Amino acid sequence: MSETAIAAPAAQAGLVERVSDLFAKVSLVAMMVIIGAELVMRNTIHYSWEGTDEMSSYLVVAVTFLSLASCQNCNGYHELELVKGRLSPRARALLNAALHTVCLICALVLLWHFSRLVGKSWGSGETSTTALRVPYWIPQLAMPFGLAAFCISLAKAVHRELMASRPPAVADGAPAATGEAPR
Amino acid sequence: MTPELHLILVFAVFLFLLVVGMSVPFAITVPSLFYLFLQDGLKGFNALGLVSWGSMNSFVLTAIPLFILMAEIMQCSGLTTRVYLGLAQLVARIPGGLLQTNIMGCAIFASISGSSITTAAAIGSVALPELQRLKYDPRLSAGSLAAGGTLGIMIPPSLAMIIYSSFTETSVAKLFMAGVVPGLLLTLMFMGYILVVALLRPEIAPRVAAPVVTHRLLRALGDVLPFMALIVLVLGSIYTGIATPTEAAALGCFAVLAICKAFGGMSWRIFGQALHNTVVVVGNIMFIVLAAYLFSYAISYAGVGDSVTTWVVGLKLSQVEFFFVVFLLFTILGCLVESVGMIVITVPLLFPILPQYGIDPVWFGIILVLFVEMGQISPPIGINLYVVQAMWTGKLKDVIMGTIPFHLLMVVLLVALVAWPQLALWLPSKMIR
Repeated sequence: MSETAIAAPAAQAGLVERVSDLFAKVSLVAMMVIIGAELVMRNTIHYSWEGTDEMSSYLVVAVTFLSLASCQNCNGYHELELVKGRLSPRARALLNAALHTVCLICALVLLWHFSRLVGKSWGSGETSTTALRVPYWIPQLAMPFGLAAFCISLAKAVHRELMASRPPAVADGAPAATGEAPR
Repeated sequence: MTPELHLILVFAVFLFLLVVGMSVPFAITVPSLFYLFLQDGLKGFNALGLVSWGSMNSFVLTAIPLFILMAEIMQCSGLTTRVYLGLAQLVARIPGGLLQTNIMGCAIFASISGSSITTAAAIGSVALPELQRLKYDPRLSAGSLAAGGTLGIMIPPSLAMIIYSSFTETSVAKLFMAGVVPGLLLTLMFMGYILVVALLRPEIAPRVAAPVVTHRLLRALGDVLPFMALIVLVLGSIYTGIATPTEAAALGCFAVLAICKAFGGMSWRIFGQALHNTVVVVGNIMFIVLAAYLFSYAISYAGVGDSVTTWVVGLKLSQVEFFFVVFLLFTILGCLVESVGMIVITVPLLFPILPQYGIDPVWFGIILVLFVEMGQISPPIGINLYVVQAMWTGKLKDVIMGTIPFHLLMVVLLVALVAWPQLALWLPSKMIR
C-alpha cells in the first residue's frame, strides 16, 4: 500500500540505455551553462543571445526523453502497492509482467509516431523560424532515441518479471513436484 | 456512447490502472491513448508526435530539471545535514527543539528544492536518527517531517507551480511570489502548534540541558547563513525581475556548486551522482507532464472540455459553493492520485471554468497547491507518509496519526486563503517586473 518513493537498485543498463543516460546528463549541464551564461551576459554586458530560449527548450525535450530509460532502470516511476502488496511473489511478478507489457505497447505506439515526426521533418527540411534556423529533425531525434532506449528497458523488465514468475526449478536429486522419485 | 461517457470510462480505466499498480505516467498515458482510439480509431494517434513535441518544447519547463539539480547537488554533497545540524543548534532552546528544526529545515530546503518528496527525504534522513536517539515523540517526529516536507511545493521554487503554469500560461514568477506568504504562514502555524504541544506536554520533546556556547552558535550560524543567502539570491532575482524563474534555477545551480566547493563537499563524483539522481527524478516528473499533455489533447480532440464547463456553469453555484465542490473533489483525489498527477488531470478540465466564477488563476494555483500538499499526507497514497515511513523503524499508522494536526492546520489556511485572497495575491502585485 505504498508508492515506490525510494529507488530500488538499478537494473543492468545496455549500450543504448547508457548512451541515452549520458546524453541526458550532458543536456542537463548544457542547459545550466547556456541559461547561466545568458543571465550573466544580459546583466553585465547587456547582451542577450536570442538562441537561449530555443536551445534550452530543445535541451529540455532531450532531457525528458533521454532520461526515461534511466528512470525505468532505477525503478524511479511511482506506482501504488494497494493490490501488489497483497499478492504472492509469483502473482506479483506476473502482474508486473502484464503491466510492463501494456506499457511497452504504449511506448511502441509513441515511438512509431515520434519516428514519423522526425521522418517528416527530415523530408520537408523544416527549420526553426529564428535566426538559428535549426533543422527540426535534429532536436526531435532525442524523442525516438529516448523512447527506443525506454522500450528496451521495458522489454528487459517484462523478461525479468516473467523469469521471476516461473516456479522454482527442482534441484538435482530432489523429489519432483509430482512426488515421483528421481530416476 | 457519447464523448462524456467515454470520459467517465477513461477515468475509470485510469483509476483501475493506478490501483493495480501501473506506474503513474503510464496510468495517465494508456487511458489517453484509449480515449483517442475510442474517438477516431488509429487515426486519433496521428498527431501524437507533433503534440508531444509542441508540449515539451517549452522554456518554462526548463526550470524543472534545474531546480531538481540544485536540490540534488545540495543533498549529495551532504550540505543538507550541515544546515539541519546548524539549525538544530540555533533553535535548541525553543520548546519543541528538534521538531522545530524539522519544520524550519523543511522550509529552508523547500526554498531550494521545489519538491515535497525531496524535502521530506532530505530532512527526514538527517533528522529521524537524531529524533529517535533523543527519544522524541515518534508520532510528532514523523508527522512533522511528513507535513513539513509538503512545504516543498508551497514555498517557491515549486515544481507543482511550474507545471500548473505550463498548462495555464500563468506567470511562474507571480505564482512563486504568491506562494511566499501562505508558505511562511503555514511554517509559522506548524511551528506554533509544536510550541504549544511542547509546552503542554514537555515529554514529547526532551529539552537540551547543555549550556549556550557562543562559538558554537556562531559556527551554527555560519552553517546556515550561506543557504539563507542562496534563497535570497534565487527568490530575490525573480522578485526584482533580474532573472526569470528558469534563469534563477540555473543561477541557483551555480551558486550551490560554489557553496559546496567552499564548504569542501564537492567533487566530480558527487556532481556525477547529483546528475544521475536528477535524471531519474526528471524522467518521472517530465513523463507525467507529457502524459498529461496527451490526456489534455485527448480531451480537446473529443471536444468534451466545453461540455464539462457548460455543465458546471449550468449548476449555477456561487463561488463559495464552487470551492466547496473543488474541496470535495481534491480531498477524494488526494487520497487516490499522486501529486503532480492530481494537477495535470484536473487543471485542463477546471481551468476553463475559473473565469465564469471570477477566480484569479494565480490565487487558484496557490489553492490547488495547498490541496496537493494535503493530498501528499492523505492516506492511503500520500507519498510523504511513505517517504518518512521508509526511513524509520516506526509504524505507518504513527506517521498518519502524527500528520493529522498538521492536516487540520492546512484546512485552516485553506479557509483563510479562500476568505482573504490577498494573502496570496499581495506579494505578486508588488513585484518589480
